[in-house]
Amino acid sequence: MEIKKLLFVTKFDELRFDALQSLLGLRNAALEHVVFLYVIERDKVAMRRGKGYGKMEELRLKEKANIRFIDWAENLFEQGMEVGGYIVVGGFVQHVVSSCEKEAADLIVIGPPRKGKIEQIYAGSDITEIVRRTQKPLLVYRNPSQKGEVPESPFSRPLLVMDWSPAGERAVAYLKGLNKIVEELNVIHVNDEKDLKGSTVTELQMLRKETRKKLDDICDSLVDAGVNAKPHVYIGDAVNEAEKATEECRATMIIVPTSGKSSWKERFIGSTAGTLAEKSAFPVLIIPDPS
Amino acid sequence: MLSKTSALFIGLFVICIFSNSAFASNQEKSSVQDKNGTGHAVGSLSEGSNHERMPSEDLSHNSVHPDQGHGDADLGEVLPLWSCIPFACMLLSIALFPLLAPEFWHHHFGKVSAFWATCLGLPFLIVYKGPALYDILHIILADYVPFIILLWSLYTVSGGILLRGSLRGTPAVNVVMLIIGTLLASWMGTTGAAMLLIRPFLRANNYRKNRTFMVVFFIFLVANIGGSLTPLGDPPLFLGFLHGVSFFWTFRLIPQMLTVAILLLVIYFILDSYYYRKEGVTASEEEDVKVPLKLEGTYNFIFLAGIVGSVLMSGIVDWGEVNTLGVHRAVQDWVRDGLLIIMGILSLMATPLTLREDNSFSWFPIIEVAYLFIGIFITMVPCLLILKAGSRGELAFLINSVKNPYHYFWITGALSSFLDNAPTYLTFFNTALGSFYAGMAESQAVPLLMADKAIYLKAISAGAVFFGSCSYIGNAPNFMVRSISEEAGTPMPSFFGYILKYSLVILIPAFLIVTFIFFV
Repeated sequence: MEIKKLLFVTKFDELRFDALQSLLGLRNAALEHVVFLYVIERDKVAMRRGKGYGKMEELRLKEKANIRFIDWAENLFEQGMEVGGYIVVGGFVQHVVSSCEKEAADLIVIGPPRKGKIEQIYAGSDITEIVRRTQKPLLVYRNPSQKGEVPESPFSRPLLVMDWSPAGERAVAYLKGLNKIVEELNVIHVNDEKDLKGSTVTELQMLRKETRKKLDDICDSLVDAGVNAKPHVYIGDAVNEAEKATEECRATMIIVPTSGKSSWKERFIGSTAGTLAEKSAFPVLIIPDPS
Repeated sequence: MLSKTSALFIGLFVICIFSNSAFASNQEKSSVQDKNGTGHAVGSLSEGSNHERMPSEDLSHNSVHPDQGHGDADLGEVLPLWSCIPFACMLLSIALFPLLAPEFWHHHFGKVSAFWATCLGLPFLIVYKGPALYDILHIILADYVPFIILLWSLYTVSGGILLRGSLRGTPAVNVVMLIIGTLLASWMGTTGAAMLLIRPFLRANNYRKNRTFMVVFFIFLVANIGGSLTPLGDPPLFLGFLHGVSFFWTFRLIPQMLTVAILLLVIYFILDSYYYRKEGVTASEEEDVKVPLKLEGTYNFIFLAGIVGSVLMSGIVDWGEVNTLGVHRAVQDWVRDGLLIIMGILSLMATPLTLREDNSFSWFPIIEVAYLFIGIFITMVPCLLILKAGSRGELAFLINSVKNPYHYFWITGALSSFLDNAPTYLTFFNTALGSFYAGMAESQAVPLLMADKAIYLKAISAGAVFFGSCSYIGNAPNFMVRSISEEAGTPMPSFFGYILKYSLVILIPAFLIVTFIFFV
């Protein structure tokens, strides 16, 4: 599984060119083509009481984005990369999905979600929808200066939150394909504390051994593929423990598989992947269920 | 920082004025109480009033059971006229800000609404305490909540229906589309019908040169006049329903609606035929490829039927009352609201997001309405109370000057053209109640208004709905249709261009004809 084409979805203020540059290490893996996408959300130019449709505003925003994209493209051309771009008006998710399909991108990069909890309940989460509809890995990325330190090469020391699902297996396969850029991979599994209530110490030890065995097997397969992987077992809340593990292991990114709960279930209950993507200070790569 | 300080200063200033007024009013009230011993304030305006019977028993009844109307009539008699200023400012803000400062309005309309609501609500609560709290709670629970729930459910459900495919926009096809839209508007709301049909309407005519007038007539008929037959059609009529106007009563507007609709359709057909021949344009081969019409998300019609059934049910059954935060509301009203929410949620769950995306569905318009109407409803409390007090309230001059049905039709209409038509309807609905049945409980007065003074209610209803089409800001779907049309490349007239070229030339003569036939 290679990353040849990257769809870089930006609104400029939350994801700038320096963020993209920090991802160019992926060229060592296979990256050769970057497609920019700027979606002018319809509410910004349409449905204005007293003003109607802001055609001039649309043109102004498009031109502004075009100027940035030309500048970025020149820089990438110099580095020998292929570049494309879209500037469109409409629904954010709709255009990310359609551009991803059109370009057959291998990885989508977007900025941190902005929707509040209430908005997510009635309108759904952009992240969940994009992942569900594209079935492509989605990297929720932040500008290097934003909230916490984002390293220069986020793929160098990732942390995989393993959950034994088909999506988890896909994540492992994905990481094997990145063996040229991953320096060290920490693989963790978080046993949910709620499920362990009433367990004896012996039972806990047994569980730890079982989990560790499974993680060892995964790490062995990764090492065979040329990825330096280390296993860790955690107990607690998946989101909190993943964050803790990322700091403990000095990881540069969290990779989290998602089994694809129904969109409605996720709106109310949430998911580990969704919550991490929203809250974590680290870049979060979501790997969807292949089915 | 500066704006916060100014807001605080204005708030304190208004409290001071309110306090002085309340003090004066209380003194007056005390003296009246000493005289008649009834414990009810009788404003000075009641003396010499030539209006309707107003026995003190009626007031007493209203005070004991304030739920039956909007609070107690006493407050309406002592409230000063300028307590309506925040309401006027709220409506003027909605009318003027989008024109004068569109960017500011787009980003801050919620704050503007909260500002005017606070300007009225805070001093009103401090000065009048319990009764004021009751009136605010009453209008929120009995008017705002069901109003927003209905609009949300209609908007959500109708936004899940998508008409794909294209027709060829000949004058006959266009007239048929306008007729279908006009008929649908009363059942799925003017917003729902307009959103369902505007894109197919634009697609059908994208090869035509002159399209502007088509969209204008679409706004006239589908986004406004078509919604006059049921409380689901247009927000003002649902407010009437919430205040006791029966569901099917609005069918009595059929003659007025048909008169205007037929007039407009005839004018439209003549205009469209003229331009069609003059243009001599035929669709290019590419454009002429007919994509068969296909209605998607049709299961939403079931939810739509559920909405109609729920609203009907709440008007038919009587399951008693339930006290919520001191406000008595009928059980069936709460059940209706719950069912409407369920219908909306079912529609959201059943309709694929991709279908809504293809419909360019956005929550923005309904969020805007929700923010604006909380401000409108709170600020209009004094105005409604004063109107309810009839000739004993400070708006007696208005009640006395608005006498004939055509007065109601034109004044409600003129204001509905530029201010929001829902609060305008409620204002004149209460003017009529205050004029004919001052002090009487709403539950008693509204049936009398429907039966004995039906022509007045028809004038108010028709005025509020029909005149909503006179400007882009008269009714919410107007600006939405304009925006969609411009986005699709159909040039639309400016705000004043719309009024001068179309409303004054086409609508006003049509409304004059309606006036002479029905309201003189």
